[in-house]
Amino acid sequence: MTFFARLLSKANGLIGALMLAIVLFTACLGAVWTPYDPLKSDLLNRFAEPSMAHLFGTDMFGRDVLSRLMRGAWVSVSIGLSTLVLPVALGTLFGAAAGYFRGWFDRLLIMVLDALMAFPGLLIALGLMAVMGANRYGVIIALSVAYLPAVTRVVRGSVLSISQNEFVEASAVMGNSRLYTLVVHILPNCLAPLIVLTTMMFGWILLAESALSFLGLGVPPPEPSWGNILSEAKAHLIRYPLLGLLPGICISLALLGVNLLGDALRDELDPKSGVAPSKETI
Amino acid sequence: MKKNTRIFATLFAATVIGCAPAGAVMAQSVVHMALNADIRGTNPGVTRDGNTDIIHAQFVEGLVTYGKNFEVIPMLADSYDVSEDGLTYTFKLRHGVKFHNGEEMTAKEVEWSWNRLAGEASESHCKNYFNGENGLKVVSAKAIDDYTFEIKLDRPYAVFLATIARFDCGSMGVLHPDSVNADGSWNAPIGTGPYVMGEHLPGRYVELNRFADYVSRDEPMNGLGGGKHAEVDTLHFDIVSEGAVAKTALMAGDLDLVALDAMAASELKDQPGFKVDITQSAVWDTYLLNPNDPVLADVRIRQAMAHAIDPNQIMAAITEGFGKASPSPVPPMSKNFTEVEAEYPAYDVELAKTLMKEAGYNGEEIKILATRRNGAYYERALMAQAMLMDAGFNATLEVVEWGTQLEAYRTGEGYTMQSFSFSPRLHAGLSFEMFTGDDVRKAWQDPEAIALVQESLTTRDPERLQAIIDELSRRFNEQVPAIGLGHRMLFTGMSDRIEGFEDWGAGVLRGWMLRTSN
Amino acid sequence: MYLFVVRRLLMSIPTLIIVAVMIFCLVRALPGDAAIMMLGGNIDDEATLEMMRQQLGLDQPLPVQFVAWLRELFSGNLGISVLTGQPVGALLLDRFSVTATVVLLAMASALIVSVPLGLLAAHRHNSRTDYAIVVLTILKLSMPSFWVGLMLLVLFGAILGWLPTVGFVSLSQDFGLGVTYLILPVTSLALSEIAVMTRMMRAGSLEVMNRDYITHARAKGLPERQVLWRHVFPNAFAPTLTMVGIAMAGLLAGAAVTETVFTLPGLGKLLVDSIYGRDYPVLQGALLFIALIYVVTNLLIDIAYTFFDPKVRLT
Repeated sequence: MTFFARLLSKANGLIGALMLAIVLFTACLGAVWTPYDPLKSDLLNRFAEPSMAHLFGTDMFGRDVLSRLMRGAWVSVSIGLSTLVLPVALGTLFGAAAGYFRGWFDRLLIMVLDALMAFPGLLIALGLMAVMGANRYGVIIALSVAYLPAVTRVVRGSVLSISQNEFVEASAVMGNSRLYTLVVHILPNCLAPLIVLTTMMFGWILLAESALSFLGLGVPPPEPSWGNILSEAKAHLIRYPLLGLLPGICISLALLGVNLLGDALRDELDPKSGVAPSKETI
Repeated sequence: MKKNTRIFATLFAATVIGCAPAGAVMAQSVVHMALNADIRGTNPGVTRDGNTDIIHAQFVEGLVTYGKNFEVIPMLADSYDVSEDGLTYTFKLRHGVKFHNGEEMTAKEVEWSWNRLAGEASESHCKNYFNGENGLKVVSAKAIDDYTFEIKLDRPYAVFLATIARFDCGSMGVLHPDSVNADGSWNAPIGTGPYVMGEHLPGRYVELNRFADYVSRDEPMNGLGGGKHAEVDTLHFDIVSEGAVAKTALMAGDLDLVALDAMAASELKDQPGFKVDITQSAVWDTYLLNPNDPVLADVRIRQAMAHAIDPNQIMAAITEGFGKASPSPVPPMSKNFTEVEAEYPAYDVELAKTLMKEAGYNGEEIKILATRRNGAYYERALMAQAMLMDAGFNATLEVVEWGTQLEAYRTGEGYTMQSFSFSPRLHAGLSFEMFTGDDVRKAWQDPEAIALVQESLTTRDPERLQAIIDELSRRFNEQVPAIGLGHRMLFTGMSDRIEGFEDWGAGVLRGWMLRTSN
Repeated sequence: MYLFVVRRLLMSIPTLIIVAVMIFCLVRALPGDAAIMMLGGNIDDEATLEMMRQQLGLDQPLPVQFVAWLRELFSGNLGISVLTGQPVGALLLDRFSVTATVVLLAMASALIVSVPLGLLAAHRHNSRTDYAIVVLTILKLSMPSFWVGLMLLVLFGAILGWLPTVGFVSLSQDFGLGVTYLILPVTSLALSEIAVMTRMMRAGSLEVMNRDYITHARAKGLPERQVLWRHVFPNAFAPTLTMVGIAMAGLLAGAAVTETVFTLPGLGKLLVDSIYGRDYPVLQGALLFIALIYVVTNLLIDIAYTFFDPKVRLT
């Protein structure tokens, strides 16, 4: 029985990694080559049915749907990846500092984090986009701010629990500085939960980006992202369901890859943590 | 695909109609309509916005109002005279006009109403049209006798009557002084219109009831004026912000008459049990060009852009084929719309390319600003972008939300071109004035054009007016301060039990024309 | 217990103040204001615009407006919507009741389904049933709920025509009709929650099942059903409950996307509309209300925790 379980855990890792690789490949391909220009409209050829010329047909502006989905993969994935940078870097820094130094800094940080968490990501996104101008950097920064508390909390928690260990005390007894102990002994031990969280977070960000774009607050059109392809299709769904079906399937496949891989990673690296694939938080 | 769609649509319709509440037959006739936002208040010209004005127009009337082709016609005035020098306007009032409280209207109430809106203490923006803030100053406005009211101006002003008739001021609506409380605060409107303000449940609905003692003019109905013979007892407006919701409610039989978008109209057109009214409005859909943008400083670049964009294709796409291009700012229903106004730069990509080359265009960015909002701002911008790119322009599209775009419009910053719309201006001079002037938001800042527009607003000679409008139209096509697209199509869907509905260029509902069969 | 509640509520005051300041700054950083929105493309002159601002109270300097807002807030007055003139407090409660109906129904149905399902999966660990549940939940987790909602809408609303596609009728208005409007949004929300909670419940139960006291209970010869419900369930439920709480706080605070898909007049939709309309009093009130929901829900979770996990003590 355990053999099967292990096999399955390997299978989910394998399938997940494979799916994610396909998505990443499509994204990279979409960045440099698509069958048609994804922004090029052709008003005489609106809502074309799938054909050899347009594998998935054309949309309400006569643009090639396949090309838009491919470029959309690039936009969504690149936003997902760049959004990870800031929360992981800053979150680790803040979390480690709070968990290790404790005291007033910790209390203040928790208070600000609480306030941030009680603050709808929607408004952060809109407010920042108003300040930054409507572009993908606004989305990236807004989502970074929205996910900063999650990373900070996980790192802080790990540092707190690792600090209880004897080897930390031992390091202090040996006369190592606090900073040295933090960097050399404590932080490497936080890596496992951080990797699991980062993987899962990539999925959350993909979802959040598509939700924001769906509400018209994400990547501004005409640049395709999976979310705004879906959003543009919304008005025409009843007549042309395929337009809405396809971007949804793309998002779902990418997320399935992330979730499967994330599950497998967690089982391997950090079985105790409760980090779970999550739904959109917006 | 097409056949399937129809089957689905019919099935869909059949099911929702099946859910419609029983008991639609009532002793009192009611027409259920949708209002896309709650009214801001019941005080015409004060607590208002475009949406609220429609409700106000049902219960308040002014001395003059707009006819079908945007000519100014008398409403509460029986007739009016303008002195030789154009400075004195004398209004002879109709006899026997009743306020909703049963009292007869006299010049006394007219004077009180004028001061309420145009007086110094007025809370209405309408006073700015008459206090010198925008040029014109009303020197005096007073009752001469019971049925004569006189207004004196500091200068001749050809669009004075058109200004009085403005929708946003409730046509400088005449109300009974009991509409306000003893302390001067607003109570409830006591107007003269064919409907009386009824129940208003904030966020839910607004009701208007038929005014049984309404005394109609003898002429046939004409625009917002003429004879008004209301028959429907109650006009019920549900507040429904989503167009899709309103459409569904119409199909379910919960609403009788709703505004639709082009897509919904083409779907509903052939469905049994429903009618669709398609009317061209005077709302001008256009692309404003930023007068301060260095890239556009060369007139040849602007001309190239105009030649690169095909208004016909774009209008056909955004109206599902119901509308066609009418790029002139002057709406086709205007009496000043002639062959000259019908002309516009031809769609000619080769010519555009030649002009670009001559002007030395070298890939400078043309940033198109648009918003996702009813009125196809985004769709228009996207299609223009594609056409500009075809001609070799480096056109980019920036989609912002409406508030941000309005701020860009007001400050004249952050765009090269923006898709925009202007609500109906009911005088050909005002059709140019709305985007001509020296304010930063105005697209056309040519001093000669500004002078011509000013003259069009003061001249009282119809031939001179036509000459000015023609001259402005020619210059507009030559200087391209904006690239016109067309005048928006209005689609109204209704159940076939509604009779008599007819939309018009101003798009303001006239509840008194409605009839119900059944 | 009583002390704990009071202390927690006091602790949340600074959080709420930070939120209030952030809200105010962010909201006012948006370009445009309500006066411009009302005039739209018909800004005839700056004098008119100024007059509108004056009427809407937007002509005061920002700090003055902020202090005025705070002062009103402390006297329990959230202000009046600049767009519709409705009192903000009443408006919020009205919209919240819609959101709460949908969210509570979705949560309740999700709990009813996912607790037994999670226990079952854990009980039949590594069986086909278990695998099926695991695969199905991860599949559902990978689908955006708004997309699933849209597809449900197209299928049941448009293609099959069984249910209304847009709009909302409150239960108190017309119960039968109201239910038909609730089915799709509740289902779409519940499906996502079922996926999350079933996984939590399964993981929690698996962990508990390996503990000594469960083995002990089994050894005593207790029937399996009793072992599951009496011993496994309460211990495995605590982490699930946290999840429920967090999800509920998020959803009550406005399931903006779901409300947009199904055009429900809820809190999330109000928030989005007030952002677009620059209706500052409504926007500020709604955001503060949302922050409050977070604080209260978190408090309730902590209290509920003590009932399920005796190890946790309120201090």
